[in-house]
Amino acid sequence: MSSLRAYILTRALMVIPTVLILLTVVFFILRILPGDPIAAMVGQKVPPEVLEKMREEAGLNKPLILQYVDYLLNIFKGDLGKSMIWGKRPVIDEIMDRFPATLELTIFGFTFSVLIGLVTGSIAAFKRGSYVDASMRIYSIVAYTLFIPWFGMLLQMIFGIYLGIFPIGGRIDPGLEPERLTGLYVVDSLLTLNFQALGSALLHLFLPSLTLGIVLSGAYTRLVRNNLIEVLNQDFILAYRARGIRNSKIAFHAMKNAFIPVITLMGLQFAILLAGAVLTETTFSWPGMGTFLLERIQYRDYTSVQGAIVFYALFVAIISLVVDVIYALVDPRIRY
Amino acid sequence: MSSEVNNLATRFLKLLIPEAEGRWMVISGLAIVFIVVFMAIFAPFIAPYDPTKSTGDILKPPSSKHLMGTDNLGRDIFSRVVYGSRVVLLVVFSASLLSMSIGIPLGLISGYFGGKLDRVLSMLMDSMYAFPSLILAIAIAAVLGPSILNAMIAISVVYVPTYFRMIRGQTLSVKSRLFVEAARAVGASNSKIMLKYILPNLVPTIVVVFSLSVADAILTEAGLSFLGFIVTAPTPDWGYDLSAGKPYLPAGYWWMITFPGMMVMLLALGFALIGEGLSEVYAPRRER
Repeated sequence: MSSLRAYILTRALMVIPTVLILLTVVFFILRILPGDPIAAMVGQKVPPEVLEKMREEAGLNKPLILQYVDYLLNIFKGDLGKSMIWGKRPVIDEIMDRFPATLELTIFGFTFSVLIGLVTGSIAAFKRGSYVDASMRIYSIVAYTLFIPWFGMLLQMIFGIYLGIFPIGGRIDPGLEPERLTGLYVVDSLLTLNFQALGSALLHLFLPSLTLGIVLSGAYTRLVRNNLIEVLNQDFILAYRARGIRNSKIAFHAMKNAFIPVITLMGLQFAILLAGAVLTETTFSWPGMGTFLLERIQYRDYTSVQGAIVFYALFVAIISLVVDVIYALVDPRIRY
Repeated sequence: MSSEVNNLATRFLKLLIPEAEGRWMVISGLAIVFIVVFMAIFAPFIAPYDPTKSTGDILKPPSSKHLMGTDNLGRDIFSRVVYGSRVVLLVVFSASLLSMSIGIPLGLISGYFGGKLDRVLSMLMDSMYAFPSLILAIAIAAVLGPSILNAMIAISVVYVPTYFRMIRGQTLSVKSRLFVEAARAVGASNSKIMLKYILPNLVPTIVVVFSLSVADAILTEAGLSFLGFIVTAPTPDWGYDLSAGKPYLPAGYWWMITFPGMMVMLLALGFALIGEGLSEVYAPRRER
């Protein structure tokens, strides 16, 4: 077996303990923390027999250890329970309705952050020590501390309300929704050649993903700058220069080498991206996982809240696996 | 050992030298933090109006009478911004102290003793660290119910892994140094080695991690507050005030959102600058 395949297999097996730990932490928070989750969520005004019934529905009246086993078994069967409101739909179906919106937002936000980070980081590296470099450094710190709802609202105010270029909320103009294939509006409208829907979806995506992208770009700016400077000082660059290879070509090779560590950062940034998406979705009335979670907390739908958090945990574990595998594919030194 | 401490002292002193890298960042960060802390302590003397009572002017733009304008209930936004610094500082500082008092000892023990305990703790902390912090805080705050105390608990849980990981890693590298071995050779107990020989060497790391994670915690606090998990009307808090101003944005009342959100950014920026600057003072970049 090739060492790459061995690496991927081992790494995939390591997801199991990570997922188990995350699920246990979620269980602990939702069931064992002092206080009754149902009572805390429903409030004190509900009569005790109704509370008892709700506990039963959520499976909270059994001994803890049985609850834990049930909880794990159901998750592995892909069953996240049924919503306590909204016609008792399976929670997993509700999540699947909302998840593509978050995925679309995070993909675009992520793309913006990497692109902005690459451009600003390379500018800083090639102009190292200058005022441009210093201002890119300040940019990377300030971008990180921008408070997402505030920054999002400023963009809404300028581009949405005063200039009127972009819509300030929602995923698409009402009535234009493309036929659902993947749930990603951009992909669906491309597949069905529905260009009116595509235009509307992209316009709606622009401000929220730019907000998310700028806030997350600071870390990339710094990393790209430092890696690029390190690579530019290496011998092979000097050798290229000695051979009279064009600067633009040297820059290309340097950037290719500087990009490898950036992939690791992508994995680390992913959690921040998801957390940022919750705030971005709230600011831009984006019907994704974040607004789903908050809405269900407000409606006191305990099973949906648990389902959403479990889903986040699984998603994080899978993404970290994917990032590590990509890293191994790109960098042959990464092996067990 | 003493040379390590001296080294630390000279590094602190370096801050006073104009050429020290990162000095301007630390100083401007400290200035911002100082102003906000001053605002929080002397709020009753600084705020011109009662932050929870109407002044009679509704939705008035900034003017000499109302520096930052008034909100939909006629409250003076400047006064609310001044008082709002209290909740965020209280929540973030107590939460950070709590996470430090759990994360640092655990990281020290885990890194020093190694073995099974270390592996279990590391896996637990790494998993928690991988989980989006705001979502974890939302989950905890939702179960405990919205209040200032519960927000503190939620935020403190979220930042334990940050301290743990950093301290554990540093402990691993410090414990292999010669002076630790020497201490062990003369029969110092484990707890003495950890507290007297390793911990002092971690102080620079702790200071840097503290500043950076406080910056992050400020954004988390503001996020929780924005989503309604910390205070209820009429208590002023920046994140909460920002969400209160959101419905008035389309009508052009920009001042309701601009100022509270700007304060969140400034305070987070203050701590981030201190952390970034100090990390440069302690470990100057190789490349300029």
